[in-house]
Amino acid sequence: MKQAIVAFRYEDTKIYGIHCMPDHSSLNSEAVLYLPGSVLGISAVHRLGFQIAEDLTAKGFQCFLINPPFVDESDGNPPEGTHDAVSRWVMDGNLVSGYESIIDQLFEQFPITSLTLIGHCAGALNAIFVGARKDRIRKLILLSPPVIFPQSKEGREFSESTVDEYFSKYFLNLFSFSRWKKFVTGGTDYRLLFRVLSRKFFGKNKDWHQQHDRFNGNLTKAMQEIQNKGTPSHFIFGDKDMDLEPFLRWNQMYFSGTLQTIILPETSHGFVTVESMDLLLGKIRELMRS
Amino acid sequence: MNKNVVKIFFQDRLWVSEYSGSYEMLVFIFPPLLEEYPRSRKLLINFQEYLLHHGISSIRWDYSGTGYSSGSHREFNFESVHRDYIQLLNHYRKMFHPKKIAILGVRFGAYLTLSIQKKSGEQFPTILWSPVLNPWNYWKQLLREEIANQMFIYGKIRENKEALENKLKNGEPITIMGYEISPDLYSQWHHALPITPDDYPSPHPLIVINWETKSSISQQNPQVHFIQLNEKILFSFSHIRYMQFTNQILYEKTLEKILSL
Repeated sequence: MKQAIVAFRYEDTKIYGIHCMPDHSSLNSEAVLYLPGSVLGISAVHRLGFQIAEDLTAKGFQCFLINPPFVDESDGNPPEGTHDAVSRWVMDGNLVSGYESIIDQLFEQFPITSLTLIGHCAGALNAIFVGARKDRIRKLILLSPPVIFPQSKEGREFSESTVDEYFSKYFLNLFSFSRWKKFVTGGTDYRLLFRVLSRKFFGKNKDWHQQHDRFNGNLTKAMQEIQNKGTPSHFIFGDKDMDLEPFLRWNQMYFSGTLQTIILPETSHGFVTVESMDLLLGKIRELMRS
Repeated sequence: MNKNVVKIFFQDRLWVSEYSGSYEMLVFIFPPLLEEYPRSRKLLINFQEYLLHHGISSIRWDYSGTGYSSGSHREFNFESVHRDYIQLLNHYRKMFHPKKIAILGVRFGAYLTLSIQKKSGEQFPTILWSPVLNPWNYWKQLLREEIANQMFIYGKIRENKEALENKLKNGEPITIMGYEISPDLYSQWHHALPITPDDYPSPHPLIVINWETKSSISQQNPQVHFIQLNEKILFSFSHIRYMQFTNQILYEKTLEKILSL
């Protein structure tokens, strides 16, 4: 795979990304834009975007891995804050106009006829928002999008995923002498530990979630617009992804289960095993061909 | 903004972010590995901006097979870092003739730069942020994180440490939090020795800035200076509760030291 740097303008800032091209074959005029999750940029989550691009360029597609404005190598800064508050900022659609501008500039500057959007996590949300507004989007491939908001706007109350992430860190610390030392000498944030453990073991149950989870209304509206436009959209989840269950409820509640969903076995939110990456790449290849 | 910022693919394969100020001083940045890098990239970008604002040039590069550089992660190894660093150093020396060169090593980047400086015999004033100095301990920590991740995702341990290491010994790659680790890299990790004070006989100072853990480098070495930041620094790579993309105190302390070199 050949790589070249691409740069675009957005208002008074510069946006940076990578154009991935096949080594030998001529360029396919159909291109892919990869939208990374959260605000950590195109190399986050074990370089998922690069792995997808490597696979697709071998099939002749050209792929663009572009950071939205403020993110990673692009100029500016996203807001700082709790993980859930930053997620909320992305889920509110604050990166959408940046992506719209990127897509306009891609069509202006490169000889491409249509564009498939592949987004992971919050990148999939951005793909839905953008797909609802832009033309010439051939297809959406949406990996693990979270469809509910974190519990509070400021991210003061942990989402399930944050609780689980903390819990895994605490599990890890069981093996660390220095962490135990910190624990017995008063260096641990006991309040945080208590909050995590109480939420993990005595936290909200499934019924509570069914009553209180707040689906992202703007996302629902955007997805309905995409359905009306007839843009093919494919959702891919791992069966071990905690975002799957709310997604299935959302699909049932607002779309009568019509959203095309592929569930990969023994697969997590981040597709972290060799087997789950193979399954994912195989599915993406299949969807790109169809 | 960013008039002096150039992002290039060096030799068509290595991502380099070049922030050019006066070239009185050029700072080479060795970034961290695996998911620590995307989670601290903005912090490093903002630090480069900060240095540029004070007239100092800096170069940050993504190791081959990591970050934005080409190649898959299985191609990453310590030797390729060494080779690429020498080529970059020669290139920027020839191109800009910097009067002074300093190194900033972040997390595992600290180990990489110190071991390379030791091997190459050419040493520079060096600043380390929260350094990893014992590669084998770091490897064991990564394995524990992988196990914790398995617990978190699958509710059970699918492959324990022994099973993962046996795979590597038998020539099969494994993944650590999704990053492919080659048997070759594992072998290099296995044979890499921790950095001790004797490994730093340089005439230049070595400055270690920590905020959570104390360094394992002996404080007996007069060339080694420690700065322990008491302020809670909430890096996104060490704290999931908060994402921070800039840190004034860390930047100021580091700049102060760079100016004194």
